Amino acid sequence: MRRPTRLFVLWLLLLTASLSLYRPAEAREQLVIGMTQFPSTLNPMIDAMLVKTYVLGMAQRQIAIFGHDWEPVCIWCTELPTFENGRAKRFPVLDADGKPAGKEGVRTTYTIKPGAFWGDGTPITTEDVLFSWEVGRHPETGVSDLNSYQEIVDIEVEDERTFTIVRNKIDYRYNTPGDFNLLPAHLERDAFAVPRDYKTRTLYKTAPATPGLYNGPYRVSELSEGAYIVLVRNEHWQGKPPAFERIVVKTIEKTAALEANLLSGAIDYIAGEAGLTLDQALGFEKRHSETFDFIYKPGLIYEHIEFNLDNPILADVRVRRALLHAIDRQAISDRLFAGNQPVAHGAVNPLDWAYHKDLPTYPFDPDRAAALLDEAGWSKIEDGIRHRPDGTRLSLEIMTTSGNRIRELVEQVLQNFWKQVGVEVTIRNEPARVFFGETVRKRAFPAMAMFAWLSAPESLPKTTLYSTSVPTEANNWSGQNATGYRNAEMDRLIDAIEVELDREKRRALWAEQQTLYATDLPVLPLYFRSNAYILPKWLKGLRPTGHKYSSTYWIEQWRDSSDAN
Amino acid sequence: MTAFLIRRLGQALLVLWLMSFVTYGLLVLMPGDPVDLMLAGDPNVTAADVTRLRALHGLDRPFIERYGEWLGNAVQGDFGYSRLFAAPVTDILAPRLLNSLLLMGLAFALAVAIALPASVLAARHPGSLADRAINLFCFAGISVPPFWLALLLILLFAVALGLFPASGMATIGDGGLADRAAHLVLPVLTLAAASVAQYTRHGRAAMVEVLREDYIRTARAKGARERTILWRHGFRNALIPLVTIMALDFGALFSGALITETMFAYLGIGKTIYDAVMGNDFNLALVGLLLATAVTLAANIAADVAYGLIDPRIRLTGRKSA
Repeated sequence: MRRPTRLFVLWLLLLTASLSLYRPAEAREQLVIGMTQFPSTLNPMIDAMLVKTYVLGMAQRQIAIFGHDWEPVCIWCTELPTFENGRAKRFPVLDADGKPAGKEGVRTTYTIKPGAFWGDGTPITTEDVLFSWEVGRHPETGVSDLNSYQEIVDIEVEDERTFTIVRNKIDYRYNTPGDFNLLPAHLERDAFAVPRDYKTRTLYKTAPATPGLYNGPYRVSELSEGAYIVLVRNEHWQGKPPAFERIVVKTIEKTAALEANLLSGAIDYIAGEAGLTLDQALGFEKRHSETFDFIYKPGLIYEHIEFNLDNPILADVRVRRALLHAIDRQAISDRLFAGNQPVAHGAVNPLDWAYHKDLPTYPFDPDRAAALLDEAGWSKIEDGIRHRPDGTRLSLEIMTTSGNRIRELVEQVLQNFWKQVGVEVTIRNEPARVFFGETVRKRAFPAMAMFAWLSAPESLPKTTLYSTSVPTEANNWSGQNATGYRNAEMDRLIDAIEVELDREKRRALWAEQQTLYATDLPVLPLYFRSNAYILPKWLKGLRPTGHKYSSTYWIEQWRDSSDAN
Repeated sequence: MTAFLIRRLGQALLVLWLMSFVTYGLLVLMPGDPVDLMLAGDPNVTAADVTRLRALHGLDRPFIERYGEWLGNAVQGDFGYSRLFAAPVTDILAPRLLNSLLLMGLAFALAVAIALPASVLAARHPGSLADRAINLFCFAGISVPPFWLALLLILLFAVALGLFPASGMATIGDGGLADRAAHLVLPVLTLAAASVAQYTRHGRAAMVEVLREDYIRTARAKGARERTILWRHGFRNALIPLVTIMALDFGALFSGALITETMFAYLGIGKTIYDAVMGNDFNLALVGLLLATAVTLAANIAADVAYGLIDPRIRLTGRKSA
């Protein structure tokens, strides 16, 4: 062996020897969760981001949220206010001159639970509530949904734990504080000195491991931007102690690498909230069902196709109905998603109490689709494609986000179904930044745009179906009614639902609203998306919710089944 | 040499300024409103929220005004705020750039360490078994997609053998030198693979060419030792075209690093730039792209300096003579 070769071999041996010192950490006292995204900030006020909500579910609890049964539940409050228990009271709203303005407001009183502490031992008080409201309603803080804070006209403080929220408007959501997030005033007040700079000066960004920022069963102890977050037990947590000493949330964006990490033991569990797509999880289950448990939870992510109602072809409701009759959504659900993504007949999920089960539905019926198209004047068939007698071709375009494998696959299946009844559909996809940031925003899709809405239980479709929410150049493309639906009856029903406090009366209004939606078909409902949770066999107690409050809000229920305690 | 370096640095700064203007313009021209992208999928956001956030992020002002403000701040060291990460751009990019440079530097060094002897070995006996084996390796190295190679390495060394970690920069709670090195092995191998093949191929071709030159024949005729002929006369001259390839490749490593960093959840700059462009994060994308340009320019200047060191006949006056 010549000298350079010997040196090279020696170098390789030394490298291998030094690297053999590496030993992966192994301990059941920690749970390592893999996710595909990293939160932009842990400040609960700034940005609405699913992965942030996921992490904060372990570390930062709110006053009230929606529970597993999709009903509001108190977390830091003792009792939800209602008119019956006297914690909610109506009052006549006065105008600037002190005269009755002809409408009613509502006062809702909350009491913070005893034993509520920040992670540094400071009690959670009404001072935190007042400070959070101050931050939330300031237009320069960067809060995405400012409206929920600005709707509050006053917060009256009774004592350190009891406060009353005053709103000059009463609606069915009167007793849920919604997304009112708590901030620790004693730590965050300095950062808010210049509101415009708050988003960069907040301790959640500059010193995220500060214990007092958190009030959940865990607190963040270490954070590597873009890579991982370590959470340890919060010693001031008074509730049920969580099972694991620490939780590590690791971000691995590439799902193939995420799978490999799970198999290598680098992570224990892939979170359903931001992990593998359903098709990937189904494929993974086929290969590794003996090693892992799988939970599929359908929820509030509503995949649908927005029609552009300004398109003369789609302006005809018979064509819209025919398009829906022509596709076998159940077959799509069964074959592509193993039945795990239930067919949607409207925007309201069957898990929501407001769901109306007797909706008009559109079963797969190509003959009915053909009859409807004939009726609409598309009866002349040339080259397998329908035409009007004047020669107009029944040709439509469908768009979605490019690179989303599932959506692109569904598009192709739909295209094939529609071709069977003589409808030509061409596919043109765009990157998400163009599709959402330009095409959908400016209603620049000529016929159909496929995407999803996220929402909370009993979510009022005011921004997506109200006639004044149609984006136009005149309103600087504001609003999210991209389909361009304008229906006075829909406006009336939305307004009526909003102010109806009686649940049974509201149920009837919801039924009318959903019936109108299903009859008019301003959009083509596809299915409710499911999240796939891939768990090690030893991890028990995890219950997905299906709505925007993630499974981590109940992390103290999670446990290692091999642990006798 | 000093005058040369000052002139090249001046040119580099001018290029960077032009690049900043062009890149900023291109980012503005690219379709997609950042606020709408931020809020996509949330049906509860009102029109007023969109207008307010657009104003808050300065998106309602003309391009030239925004660029002027950005440039004014940049020359004072303030490169702005990243919307995606909710943090100053320098806080995000500085550590990631160092991580990427470490990854790229190690991959580059490994590639050079393997490619140079391999290219000499292959060129010494063209058509031999060793030459054919090296050629086959080069063909494979260039053809194999980094994504596939990364996955293969993860499955083999992390999942099946459990020798190296599958992802990340260090074990959480450890972070010792051996641990950091272990986390670097697979990404470095992935990133280096294509470069090894490319350098070897070009190095072999250059060496074969040089070994046919008259002065090599003359040296042999004068009875010079084969080792001297190979390394002092042949290899030194073959290095000049190879250095150009390497300098260009070092800049290109940025794009290769994107895939490698994503696959190994390695916190580098490649993936950050990609996310910034796709997420319409002006400041982050702009500074990231400028950093990539700066690294490429620096690699080119380094190549020019290396020419002078390899062959003293090349004077660094802006014109090269060989």
